[in-house]
Amino acid sequence: MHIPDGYLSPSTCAATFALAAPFWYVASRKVKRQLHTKLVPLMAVVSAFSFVVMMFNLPLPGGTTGHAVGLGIAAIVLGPWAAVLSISIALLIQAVFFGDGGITAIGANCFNMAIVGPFVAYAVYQAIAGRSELTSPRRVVAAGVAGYVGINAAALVAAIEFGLQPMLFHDAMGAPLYAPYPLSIALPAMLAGHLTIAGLAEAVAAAGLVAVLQRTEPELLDLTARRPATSGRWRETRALWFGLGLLMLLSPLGLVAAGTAWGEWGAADFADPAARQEIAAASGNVVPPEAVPSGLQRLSSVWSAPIPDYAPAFLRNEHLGYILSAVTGSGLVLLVFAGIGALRARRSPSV
Amino acid sequence: MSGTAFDFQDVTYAYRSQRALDGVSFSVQLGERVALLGANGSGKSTLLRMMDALCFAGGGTATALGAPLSEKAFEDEVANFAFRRRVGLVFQNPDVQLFNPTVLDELAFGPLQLGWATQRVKDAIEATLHRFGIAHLKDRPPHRLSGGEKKRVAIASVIITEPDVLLLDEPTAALDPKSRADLVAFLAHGLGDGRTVIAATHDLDIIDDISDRAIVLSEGKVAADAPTLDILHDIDLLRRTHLVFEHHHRHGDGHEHDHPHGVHGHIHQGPEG
Amino acid sequence: MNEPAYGVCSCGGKKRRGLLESLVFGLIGVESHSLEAETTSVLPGLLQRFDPRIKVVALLALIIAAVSTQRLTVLALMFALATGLALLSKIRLIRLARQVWLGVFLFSGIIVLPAVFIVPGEAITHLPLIGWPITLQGLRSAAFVIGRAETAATLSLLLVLTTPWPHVLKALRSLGVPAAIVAILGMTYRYIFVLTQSALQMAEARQSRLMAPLDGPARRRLMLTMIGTLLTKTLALGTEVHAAMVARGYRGEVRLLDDFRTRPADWAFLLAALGIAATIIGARL
Repeated sequence: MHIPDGYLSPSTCAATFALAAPFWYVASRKVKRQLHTKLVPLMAVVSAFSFVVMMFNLPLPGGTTGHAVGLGIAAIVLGPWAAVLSISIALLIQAVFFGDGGITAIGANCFNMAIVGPFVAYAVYQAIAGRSELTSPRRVVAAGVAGYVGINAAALVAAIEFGLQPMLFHDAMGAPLYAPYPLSIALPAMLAGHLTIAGLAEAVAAAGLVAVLQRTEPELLDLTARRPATSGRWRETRALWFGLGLLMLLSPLGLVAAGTAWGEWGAADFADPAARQEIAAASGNVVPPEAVPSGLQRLSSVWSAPIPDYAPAFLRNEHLGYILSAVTGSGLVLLVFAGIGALRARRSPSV
Repeated sequence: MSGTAFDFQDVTYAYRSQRALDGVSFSVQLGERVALLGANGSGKSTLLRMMDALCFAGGGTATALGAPLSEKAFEDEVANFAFRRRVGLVFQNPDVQLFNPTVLDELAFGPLQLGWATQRVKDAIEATLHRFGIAHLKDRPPHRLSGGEKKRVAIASVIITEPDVLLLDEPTAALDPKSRADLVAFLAHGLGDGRTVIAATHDLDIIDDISDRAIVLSEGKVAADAPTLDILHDIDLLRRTHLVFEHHHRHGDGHEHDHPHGVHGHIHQGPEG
Repeated sequence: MNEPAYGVCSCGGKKRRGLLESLVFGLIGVESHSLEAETTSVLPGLLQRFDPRIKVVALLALIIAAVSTQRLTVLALMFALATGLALLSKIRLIRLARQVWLGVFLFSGIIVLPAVFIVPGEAITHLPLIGWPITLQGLRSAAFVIGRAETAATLSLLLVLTTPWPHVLKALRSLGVPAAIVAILGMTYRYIFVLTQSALQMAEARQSRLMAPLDGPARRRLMLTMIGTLLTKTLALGTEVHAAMVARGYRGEVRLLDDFRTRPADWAFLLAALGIAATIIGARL
């Protein structure tokens, strides 16, 4: 899922950098407070570990192999903030020194794999693991699900980034300037790969590693255990989460304001068997769904509803609906998570 | 130079409810050359770390250079720097000791941390590179160095700040015979006079060259503390503390015998042949 | 291809190897890539002569320009420029082809191939037999993605092949990146090789003991146990390294030594690169 240079427009790259920057800032402060002088050496070796672990191909049930990004296990062992830093550093070195992932796409790659992924994985892990024993099988299941959901959340965000490109950026002849597939193709194609192989690899890595650590060094699981998802630290980061949720809610308006025109995309492509075969080939022989996912279609109609008829034509475009619904959806999810966190923090006495 | 470098009285230390040190008492004067002997797990690494204020005694009293070795005392930045300037530790694992991207950065790390001015740091680097014969390695990353080169850089990176006290953890571990000989020669003659050297090791072959006094640790206690040559001749002590073991072997002339092994060239007991 | 291609995620294309073999292969690839970079970075070439700070800024500007341009001709010129810089820096084209061009072309080519048929627009021809339309817009969009990916990857490889990594780090430092981050980056790079060696030893030890092929779950356990061991080693290493830093006076604040001197040629190169980038981005070329 390392996005190379050239797939995302400079403005998307800048936007993802801007989204990632506050997380880096808060992460460095929080991790510094937690680790004191150990910050530099520990982050360095853990980043090196994140780098090396991405080279381990895991045999998956079903006979294929896949490699994990390790975002699940990083969030579980180190907590989400330290995971943000260490995975970001590993991604930076991969991009600059080894050419895995683009230089301009570092912000996007970090946002997807070092921020969204670990935080989602962490929330899922905490929700399922609860206050169970460190050696409880429940933690193994929690880790597996966390890795799976985390990597898919990252893939979803990457797909949205891809899918926005053809709608926003065209040359004079109408040819897409960056990633050429609209959301209706990018979403199912990315998720098809990640709901299966990549998701499975991440789940196997996280669950398997937690099982290994339970046998060998359960104390390594202790750092993030026994703490409800966001309580205690909730207050410090509340503003960040609400801000991000709000930003995502508002960002579609920004896109609209920019008033970029885009070409007509036939959702019909999706129903065309020939095109579907090609998409399938491109996404590791996973067949895309028969039609545009109906949930998306419904969401998009939710969005076209409040847009008045006298709005410019492009506002009524169905793809705008996709953008709006996808981005707004993510924003809503964040706000809901933030709300739950606030409630839990209020219920439990501050830790 | 005179005065006390270290004074440990009845020091204990426990790690994960395991006693690593169990009532250790000794003192070392400035300018002494001491070998800390002991098998793996005898507590000598812990003791060495305590002498470098990387961990602190759980019980008893420990002082270094006249000041207490306690966590509280080291929270004070001035005291900390004063100590770090005078005491240096070379870690056993060069991958731990050498954490910088190049040899040059490695040498610069200590002086920069101690707040030396840039020009002074550069001069010290230049002098140290030549003194250790490692000028040609200066831009190399540590993973491109041989074992012997790594060790030399590791020691150079500590010596560059000219500490009065040099602590070494298993200096000859994993070195080939030539590098080991070079290192021993350096420790014996290259360090200059008056420097206190304390080396933790179980390599009995080298201690005669690098130390005048040996402290033997066993199961967290001081088992012996005497001149190095006396310790080397006390085979019973060395056997008891697992520093030598009974070795059975056969000579070319067909005769075979047992003797304690662990000291280079064997200490053959009884009539030869 | 006998080494992992630059610019491509290393997960594909080695189905035929065993798991341990592919791991060993990947780990050795890291080592050989860095060895090559160390070799080429001291060649007497054009880019090798420039100040690292200037080089970082200039190449970054060119990469951004390549990603920004809206014309295929400009993109082609940028690609030619990158290739020319490589030649002047004594980097052989065969190396670029092997390390970047082929890999990026295959990776991005597969991804954008369907776009040739499904991007709506003016059909310029149809595939024989099955009759899918190939659209001009589709071809152009595929060319944009591949061209940008190739150009940017070539430029970023140029930085690594002509600049020792420690110099890249020091350049970042003098460009205002906080010392702690530069230190972490330097140490991460350092410990990538230590952990790679550890992983390599583990993999080879297991390779030598495997007598019979393992079944799926056993192979999975084998790999996971290795990762677990590596993680434990990593955290122990972190604690030890911290002690080694404290022993030398580290109190949480990193100080670095940096002394680069720029010469007029450096500034000329920087001006040229920034000029090209500003023209492309500013004039929306």
